[in-house]
Amino acid sequence: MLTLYITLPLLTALALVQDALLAPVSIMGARPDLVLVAVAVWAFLRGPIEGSLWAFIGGMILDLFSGGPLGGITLGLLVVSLLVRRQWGQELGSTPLQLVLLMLIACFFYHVVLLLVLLWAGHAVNWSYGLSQIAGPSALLNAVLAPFVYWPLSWLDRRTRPEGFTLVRD
Amino acid sequence: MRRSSWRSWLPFIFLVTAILLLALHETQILLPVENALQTVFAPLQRGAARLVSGLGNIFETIGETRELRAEVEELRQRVDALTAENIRLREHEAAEVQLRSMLNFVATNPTWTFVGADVVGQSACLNSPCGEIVGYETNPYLRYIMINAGSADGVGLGMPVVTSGAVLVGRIAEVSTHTSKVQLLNDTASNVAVFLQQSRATGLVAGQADGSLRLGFVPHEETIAEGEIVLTSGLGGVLPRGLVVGQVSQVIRQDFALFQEAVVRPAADYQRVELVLIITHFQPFVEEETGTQE
Repeated sequence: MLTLYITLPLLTALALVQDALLAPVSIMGARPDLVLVAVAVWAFLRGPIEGSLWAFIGGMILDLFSGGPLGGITLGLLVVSLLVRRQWGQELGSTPLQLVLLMLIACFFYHVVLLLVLLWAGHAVNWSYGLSQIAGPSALLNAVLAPFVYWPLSWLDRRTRPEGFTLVRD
Repeated sequence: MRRSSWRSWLPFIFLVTAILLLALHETQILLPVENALQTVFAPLQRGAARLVSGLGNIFETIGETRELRAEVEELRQRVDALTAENIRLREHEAAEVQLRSMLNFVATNPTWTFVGADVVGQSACLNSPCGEIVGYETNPYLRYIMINAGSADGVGLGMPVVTSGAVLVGRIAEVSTHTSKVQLLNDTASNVAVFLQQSRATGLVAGQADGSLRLGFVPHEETIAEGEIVLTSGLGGVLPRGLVVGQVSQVIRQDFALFQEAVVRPAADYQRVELVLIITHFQPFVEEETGTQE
């Protein structure tokens, strides 16, 4: 497992970039979710156990920056980390294509969980608007971003993978 | 083997913890922990905001320099200096306009008390405690901003937040020691009692999922017109009377409906708000017995 000395500062940095730089960005309703993409890619590379650790840490930091209920974004990211599997979409062949497909699905579920949490917390939720104008465009944008996040994270994966680590996934 | 089986439980443990956090957050039990974490992360957030702002200025200056280099290479350095100076002066000018406007607002309401705060990394000190921080909402379905004034500055839950004079931006939704989260008017959970300046019709302005404002609960018999100014009514005593919310941009009347609705154009671009004042004390509006306004 990637040591916490790397994981914590890395995810803090990613969350800060998302909060300070990317959160105000909106491209036709789509918002780049750097932490979401990183969690999905790491779960893709290392499996759900490490993915869930990233989801928990990254989600908690984002929750602190958010006005929403604490744990809401964390829950969304955890669902993503548990959903993403390398085995899925293997017949598609190339890794970037696999990633794009996985991100589309992961992002959709992430937004559904966010909306469910807000509904539970008593917010007025407009499902049709949320899914069509925010979740849909965001899924497309994050799917496009995924291969770019994959390159540095796969490098980190190779550098930090323990000796004798098998490629058998959880 | 034992370590491996323990690790396989991690996702489940995290999932249960997240659900527990959600439940405990609603009961406010975690408030001290959240405050402590906010205290740790607030300086990081402030630093990131400053860095982004600084990088933005650098990129802007670089862009301008390239154009100038193509035109007059020998004047490049001088133009760089002038451009940087110009940007700085423009920011000063914009800040001055906002500060003057806020100062007028403060002067016209001598019985109220205020706390000044900054939303995007500039000092905004009048005579009130203020600072510099920015925090944008990370959840795409919510509309909050984080400001750098907290309970240590006298900020409390529900206090109104204004900008550019009497323009209402939102209300304080969460307070920690040195930072606060402001629920913007266009958040879907925001509701504000208002009246229209000309027709005197009353209603409720609510945030919509697309970030717009919708005026509702206006009695069908009232005649409201496009362009009317929407002001806070002060009913309920949670907000002062007369703060500007926006302007009616479209009236929606349906013959069969009990109430009419209107689309309200916000008086401020909430994404571009830089300086805010938190009204820490005001005299609540008291409706006269006859029902007429003061």
